[in-house]
Order: sequence, then C-alpha cells, then structure tokens
Amino acid sequence: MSKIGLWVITFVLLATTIAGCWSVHELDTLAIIMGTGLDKAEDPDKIRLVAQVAVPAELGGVPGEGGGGGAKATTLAITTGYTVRDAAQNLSRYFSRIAYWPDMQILVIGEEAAREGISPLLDFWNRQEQPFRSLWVMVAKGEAKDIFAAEDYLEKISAVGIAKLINESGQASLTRKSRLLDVTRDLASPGVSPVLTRIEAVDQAEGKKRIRVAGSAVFRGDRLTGWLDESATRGLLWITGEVQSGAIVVQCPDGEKRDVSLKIRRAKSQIIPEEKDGRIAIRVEIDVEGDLGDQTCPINLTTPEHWRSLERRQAAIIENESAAALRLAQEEFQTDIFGFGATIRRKFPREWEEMEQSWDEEGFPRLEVTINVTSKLRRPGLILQPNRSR
Amino acid sequence: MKFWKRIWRSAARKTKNDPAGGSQPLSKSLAVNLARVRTILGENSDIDIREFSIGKRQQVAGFLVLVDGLVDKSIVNDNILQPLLTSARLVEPDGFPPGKRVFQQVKESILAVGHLEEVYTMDEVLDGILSGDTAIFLDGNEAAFIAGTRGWESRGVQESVVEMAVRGPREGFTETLRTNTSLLRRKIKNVNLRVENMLVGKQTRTTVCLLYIKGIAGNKVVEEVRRRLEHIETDAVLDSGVLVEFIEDAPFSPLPTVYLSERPDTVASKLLEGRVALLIEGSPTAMTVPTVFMEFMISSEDYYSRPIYATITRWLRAISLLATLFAPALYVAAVTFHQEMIPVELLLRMAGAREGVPFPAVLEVLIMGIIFEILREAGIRMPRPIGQAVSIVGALILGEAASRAGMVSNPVIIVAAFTGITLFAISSPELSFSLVAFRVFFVFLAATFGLFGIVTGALFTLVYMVSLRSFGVPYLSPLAPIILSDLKDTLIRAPWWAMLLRPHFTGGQNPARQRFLLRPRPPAKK
Repeated sequence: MSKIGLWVITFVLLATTIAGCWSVHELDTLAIIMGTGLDKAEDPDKIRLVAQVAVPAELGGVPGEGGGGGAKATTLAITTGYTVRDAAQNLSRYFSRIAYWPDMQILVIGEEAAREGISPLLDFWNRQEQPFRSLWVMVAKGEAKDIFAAEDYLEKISAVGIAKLINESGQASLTRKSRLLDVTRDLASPGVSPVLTRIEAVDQAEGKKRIRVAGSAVFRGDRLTGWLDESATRGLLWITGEVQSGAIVVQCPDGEKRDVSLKIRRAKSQIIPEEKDGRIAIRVEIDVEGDLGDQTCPINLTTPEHWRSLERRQAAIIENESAAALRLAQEEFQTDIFGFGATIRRKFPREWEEMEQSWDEEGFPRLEVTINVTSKLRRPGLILQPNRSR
Repeated sequence: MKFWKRIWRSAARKTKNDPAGGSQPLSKSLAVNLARVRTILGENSDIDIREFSIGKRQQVAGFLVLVDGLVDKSIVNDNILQPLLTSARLVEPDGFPPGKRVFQQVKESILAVGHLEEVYTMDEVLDGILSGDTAIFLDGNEAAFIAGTRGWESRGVQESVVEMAVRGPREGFTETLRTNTSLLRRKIKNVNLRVENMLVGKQTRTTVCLLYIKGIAGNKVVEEVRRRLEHIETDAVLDSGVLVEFIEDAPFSPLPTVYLSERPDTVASKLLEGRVALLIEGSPTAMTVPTVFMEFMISSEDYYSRPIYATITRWLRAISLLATLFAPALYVAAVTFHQEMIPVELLLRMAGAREGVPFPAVLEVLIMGIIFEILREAGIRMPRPIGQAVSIVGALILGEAASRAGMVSNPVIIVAAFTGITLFAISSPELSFSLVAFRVFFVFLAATFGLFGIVTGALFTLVYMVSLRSFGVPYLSPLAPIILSDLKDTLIRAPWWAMLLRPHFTGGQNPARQRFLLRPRPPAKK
C-alpha cells in the first residue's frame, strides 16, 4: 500500500474520531415548529410569539401505538420578547429540545401588531440562513393566538391545514396568496403596497372553532390599513392577473330572476401606463375565458345571442368587481395595492421621480384608470341544454 | 520489508523439495524403469502397474502405469491392453526383434488411442499418469508412451447457479478442464481460438488453460498474462479465486479487477471482444482479463433480450448500484444534518418513529447493516432447508420485534432492507460484495460531515476508480476516458446490428465486428 493511501486512511480515521459531529441534530432532539403567530404583548414594547410545535410521538411511525388516539398532535408555546429573535430564543426556557424552524408552514401576524408595522416582524425570517422565502404570511382578524386554538377539519396539525388551504385557495380566487418572498419584495419596491392573506377563526358546527381564509389585508407602507372583502379581493386579483379559477354568477338572459354560473378557465391582465392629455394614465386590459358551469333557467343558452349576452354579463361583473376594488384603494385606503406605480416607474422613469414622493397621497388617488374587459365563453360542457328545456 | 524478505528466504530454504529425482531421463532397461516407478509412486493404493509381454514368443516385456479412477478403464482394456496382447502376434507372427523397431511398430500399428506421445523423462511420465493418462513402458527403450485415457467421474454440464438468466444457454462450466474448453470450442469453431496449457502450483501441478482469439486479442495482453502466470511459484492453486489474487493489478482494492464467470457464452463473448480467458483445472469459474468496471454491471442476458428492455434493466442496475452505495449514508446525513431536505410530512413521521429510540441514527444504521450482512452470510453457509429458517427468524421476527420494542426505528429497517435488495440486483457477486466496504465508509463520512462528507467520499472513490488499470486498460473505460463507440454498450445496449466495432481497448487492433448497414429492412421495391 502506498504512502498516500496510508495518509488518506489516517486522515479519515482522525476526522471521524476526533472531529466529533459538529452541527449534528438527531431528529429526537428537535422541537419541530409548524407555525408561528406574532401578536403585541401586554407590555407595549414587547412581542408575543406563539409557536405551534409538533408532537411526533402522536403522529404515528411507531407501530402499535400513536396514529389516531385522543392525544393532540401539537402543542402551543407562548413567549414574549423585545424582538422576534428574542422571543424565539425564549422558547428554550420551555422546551427540552432545540427549536427547529425550517419546516414552519405559516406565519400569522395579529391584527393589532400588523397595524403597527410588519417590517420589524419579518426581519428575523429573511435574515436566517434556512430557507423561509416560501413561507405563507398572513394577517389574522383579531389575535394570532386564536388562530392556533382552532382545529383543522382534516389535518392533525392545523398549521399544515392552513398552508394547504391557502395553497388551494386559487380554486375560488377569493384571497390573495402571499408568501414571505412576495411580501418582502412588495415592501421593498416603490409603487407597490403589500396585500396579505386574511385569516380568521369562526364558530362552526359542533361548537368548534374553525379556520376560514377569506378576503385580504391591505397595507399602506408596512402598516395594516384595512380589509378587502371577498369580491373586492377578486377585483384586485382581476387587475393583477392572479385569478386562477372560480365561479362568476350572472343573471339568466331570459330576464327572469334565475342564475347562471360561469366557470373561469383562464384570466390574464396587462397593466399599461400611457400618456393621455399630458398626464400619465393607466389602462388595464383584462382577458378572461370561461365555460358554462351550470344554469337554473330552463332555456337553451347555446344559441349565439344568448351566448354573447352571457359573455357581456361576465364582462360586466368583472368590470364591476375591478372598479369596486379600484375605488376602495383610491378613495378609502389611498394605497397602490395594484402596483400601478411600479409599472409607471418602469415605463416613465423620469416622470416617476417627480411623482414618487407623494404617490400614495396624491398621485395614486388621482390616477385615471381605464379597465377594458375582453370576455369569452368557450364550452357548454357535456350537456348542451338543461334537462327540461322549452 | 527487508526483514520479511529475510525470514521468507530462510523458510524457503528449509522447505525446498524435489519430487524424488524425477527429472532424470528414462533408462533403457525395463527393470530399472519399473524399480524407479515403484520407488517414486511408493505404496499408493490407487496406482495400478500392469506387467505384460508381447510378441509371439513373448520376447518383449513391458508394463503400463495408471492411476485408478482417473482413467477410462474401457479405453485401457480395449484399445491398449487388448491390441498389445493379441493383435501384436497377428501383425508379425515371427515376433519382434527387441529395440527401437518394436517401439515404432507398437506406436504405428497397435495402440488404438487418439492421443499418444513419446516422453523421455520420469517427470513427464508422472505428469501424464497423474492427469489420468496411461504410461506404457517397453523393454529396450529409453522412451515411454503416454496414451490419452483420461476419464473420471465428474459432474455433468449443468446450469450455473451463480449467474441465472431467463433467456440464453443453460450450460455452465464444470470442474473438468477439457469439458470446459470443449464448451468454448463448440461456440467458437475457429482455428484462431488458441488454447495454451500451463502448469501452475509446485505441489498440485494444476493445468491452467489460456484462451484467446489470435488476431483479435492484443499480443501484448496475451504476453502479459503469460508472464504473470509463469511468475507464480506457489504450492497450490485450487480455484480460480486463488489464481486471481496472484495475477490481478490491484491486490488491495475492494473492487474486482478480474472478471469471473461460470457461463461459456459469457466467456465466449469476452473472447470475441479480444479479451483473454483463463480456465483452471478443477474450477467451474473462468477468468477474463482485461476487465473494466462496466462489465460487472452487465449480465449476459442483456445481449439476448430486446435492446430497449436491456437498456431499462441496465438503468435499474445503475440505480441499484447508487442506492446500495448511498442509501444508508443519505439517510444518516438527512436525519442528523439536513432535516430541511426531508418533506415535512415525512419528517414528522420519521421523527415519530425515532421517538424513544435509544441509539443515534448512525449506530442504528450500522447495527441493522451488520445484522443484515450476518443474515446473508448465515443464509449462504447454512444447509438449504435451515437457510430458510434463518431468513424467517432474521427478517421477520428480529426486524418486527426490534421495531416494536422501540430499539430500532422503522425507517432504518426500511433503509437496511432496501439496501440489501438493491445489492442483490447488481448482477455480479464480486462487485456487489465489494460495495459493502464502500457503503460503510460512506456511512461514517455521512455521520461526521453530512452530505459534504458523502460528496467528498464519492469524489475520492471516483478518483480512485479512474486510477485503476486492469492489464493496461483503464478501469472506468469507456466512460473515462470516454470512447464514443463503446458507449453503445454501457448504460444503453444498442441493437446488435448497430454495434459495429469491438471494444476499443481490447479489440482495437482489429476493430471491425461486422458489416455496416445490417439493420433489417423491408425488401426494396422494384
């Protein structure tokens, strides 16, 4: 055996025996945190942190025991601190294990804390070397602590349930999906205000608290200023082109009070800044395709005139919802949740420099916005006419 | 080193022995020869010495020597003894004058055996009779006949148990050298298939057959194999495994650098690729050199099944290779260093399974690995009916009870079992057993440095493999150095009509295997 071979063996033996196992964490020394809530503490300088920690022994994996059972799969730990990091560090007073953050699913910010600004609350997560960028960030109606008290219908760990709920919310497009990356980017870019998912705990059957994800939280700078309800949220999503799927209910063209629902197939939008009479204005082109979802009126809707009338009605609803969201943002909240400023900055950088200072106060509320909707209906589905048509 | 050399020299001096003056030439006198044969062969009960005399007046005396059990008795009786005793009279009623002429007469018109040679030393006589031939001495000659009468009880040609295949020839090598060379001859009916004999082993005098196809195999490789065989000076070479250790390039390497096979079709295909095969008396395993790593990933069946299926199978084997090497190490690294890499729900499950397990993950993996290897070994050594009991007790009861008792977590059992199964999916036992060493090495690295350790270890292993040579051929070829045309027979198996060239390093001096454009096509329209 050559000398080099001996050296390699010596090195490997030394390395494996003396070096110890630096940065080793065995799985059973970790407290896996699934979700975190941030609220204002009673002491006004402090933050209250609620951590939902998984109890692995209750999650199965050991044959014969665990899996099912009555015991809860999670437990809550509540600490306070001057900063998020301080509060997080304080967890070690309660837990015999090392707090393990990277698998955290959701970050819930309490309403009151959000009104005082979310930038200080997000700093910690962005600074960590572990990847948190895809974390769902949301604002709770009320206190974040109450969110974790509610149970999920199916998931043993409610944080996982909420994360899946938000992930699937594109089916109805009634809330804004906000990941940490999106929120951080919106906070950092001029001409956009962040909009976050809104979440609340509501009473449901059997006297249990359940989670509901609906509407959005509107920010001005990094402070919460108000809520968008579900239809205004969809108005926002029409303009920003984030609608994935969902249903639009319109009146039946036969004039009676019967409804037809249209299934959204595809929606995209284009925000075009342009000069109009010496001033900068915004034109929004929304392009929507839908299918016939179902109908309650007994007429044949697949005739060309009915079909076109349905397309017009679809366009009208989209226009109304967008206009309502726009009005709320311009008049009530005075904050550019659509990112119009950012598009202007890209197209008219010189003009933007003048407008930037007073964008939220003057520029945006007085901005002239035209919304054009192109609406198409594609497929009637497997049956052409209702079962008993005239 | 010097110290050991000195010790070896003094020991060698003491044990030097010459087999009882056998190198002397034979005597003219029959009595002297008989006496010498008697003293050399001594009191061996399996030696038969039959004296006789021929000629009308029985004026020429002679005797024949053979080893009972090694000869085919019917040949000796019907083709040697009978003609000598009876037809000799008919040929020349007046009888033989003694001396050289008798000898010539007997050789030319009396002995009815195919293989007959004259020898002049006692050594050659002994080699002959100990190999199953019959020695015939006649009075007044300083030469003896060696008549080919080999024929002993042996196992028939059966299917190899080690290398199974669904399609392809069912025959496997046996312990009889002649049968084995005949199996190859039957496949390659070509005068250029050269079969050279060499004797290896001072005590055992084992015949080693060196086979190659002249014109395809490189002269240098043949020369080198011959040189390495001549170099061997040891007591016994009982199996090809022993011979491998004397001729391989990297004797300390965990990786095999000589290919072993029990299938004549495999060996024939290696010969046709320009490799050299070694067959050894008494062993059903043939060796072929030069050897590259990819050969161990290939089974002979790949060449008999459809190319696409063969390609998929090869990929499965490659995946198995990686899995069996890295699965335990990756598990240890992921569980102790990189929990972020595990999907959340799996992580929670695994955390649940590890709850209350008293050992760190490394130790768990090592313990399970050792238990698995013990089970495997016990299963091989046990008589077959008991072997099944071993697997039931080991696999079912031990595994189930250990996890139920919370001593080992379930994921580790899964990892150990998966590693074991993937090990068996690699077709060559030589390679798969050598991987166990690497696997343990990677587990240690994973436990100390995590993924970083595994990657570093894998790099070192790769560098090591690239540095290996087998009879001058780079071990990782055709992957490194890359030989484009040879890649058709690595992780993909191209159709036969597309493999135009023989492997570059072994058949490079005579590369064309077949005509271009042999692809089957519909007949051309008129």
